[in-house]
Amino acid sequence: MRRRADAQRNRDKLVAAARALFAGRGLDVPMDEIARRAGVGSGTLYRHFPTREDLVTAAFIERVSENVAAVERALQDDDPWRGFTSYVRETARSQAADRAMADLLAIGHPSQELRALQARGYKGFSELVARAQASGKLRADFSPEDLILLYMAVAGITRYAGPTAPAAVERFIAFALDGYRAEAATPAPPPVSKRTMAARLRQVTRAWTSRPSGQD
Amino acid sequence: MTHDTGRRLRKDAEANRQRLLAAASELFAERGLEVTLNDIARHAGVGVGTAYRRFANKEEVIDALFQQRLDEVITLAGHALEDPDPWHGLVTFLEQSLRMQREDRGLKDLVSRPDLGRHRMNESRDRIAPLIEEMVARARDQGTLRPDFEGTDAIFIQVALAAVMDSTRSAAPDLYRRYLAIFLDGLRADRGPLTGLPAGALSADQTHAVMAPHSAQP
Repeated sequence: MRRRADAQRNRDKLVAAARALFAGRGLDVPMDEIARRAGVGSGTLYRHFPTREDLVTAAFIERVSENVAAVERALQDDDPWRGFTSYVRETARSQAADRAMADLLAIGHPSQELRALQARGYKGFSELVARAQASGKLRADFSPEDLILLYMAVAGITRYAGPTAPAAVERFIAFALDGYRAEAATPAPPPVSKRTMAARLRQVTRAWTSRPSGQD
Repeated sequence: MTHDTGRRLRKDAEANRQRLLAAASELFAERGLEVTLNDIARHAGVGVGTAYRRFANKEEVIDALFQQRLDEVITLAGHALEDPDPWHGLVTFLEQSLRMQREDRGLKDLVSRPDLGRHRMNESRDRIAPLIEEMVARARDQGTLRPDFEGTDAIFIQVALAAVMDSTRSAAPDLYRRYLAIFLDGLRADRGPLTGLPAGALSADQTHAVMAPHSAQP
């Protein structure tokens, strides 16, 4: 009993340490450093989280669930454009506040569990887009796939702007949302197909997860 | 005769120099800045001795490459400032400088390395930032660019689009242009009510400070 409580405490410490380190430096932080910060041995770390993927999943499952909940909340908004813009702002803010979250959203999720959540979020976002377009407020050529471009862009700013990322991202999102309005629109070059983008994300995710977690 | 020979030698020297720079740019993009001057010579198909006559060391190659790119960006900016249509000038500058980045990944490594990039970053800021400020001011005065847009915003747009470009390079190398087009629609003053901006723009110095390489950050 006592041992189980210790194990849970260690697990919590590891997740907290991972969140803190990932947030400031992105997902590349060495596993051993996370163990050190949590004040546990590497052996304990690997007993709880055999792969980096397991640790990333544990560290982000709540944040990604919150993100999905935000889409579903936005769908309840009576005003489709307000629902769309409030979700875009919220999701961009979650990136600006946390470098690892910024990267996760921009490069795709490394585990089955996170990917399933992401798929649910994507489905909700597609609905959000359809509703905002039907209301005439969102430009007709906006594709749900464009969300990933926004994630990449915001991740880029977050990486560069460091501590001032939240302010820089707020401005950037305001410009972007003004460009998404139907009344602002001039024809844009075509979006990338869902298939191309999915292939690209698989490629990145594979490269990312195949990195050995032990020897870094 | 001697005069002609001299001229030919100078021409050969310049041709070798250009070949070395082109090879260096390719190698830096492929393998990062760790490559040696010997690697560069081999890649350029130029003898090592010749390479060392043109450049004393790799630092000099990096410097020359950086100067070349900087001059190109300044030339682009000059064209933009002479464009009779300031909005068109600004848009063309953004498009062309991004295309330049797409074609030159080595350049990115160059500016994101604190040990190799700092003094060059300073130089590029001092020379380019005022040109961008002027470009933005002209387009604002024209009434085309939204009045609350600042020069530093243009820099963040480039950072954002460069990130898009990086992530989609292999799958859809032109995709960043879609985002640029949509984005530009949000910058026009003449497209209905604009959203009030939630935060002030950074100053050029602040932008420069935050964009300095972040490897030192905790």
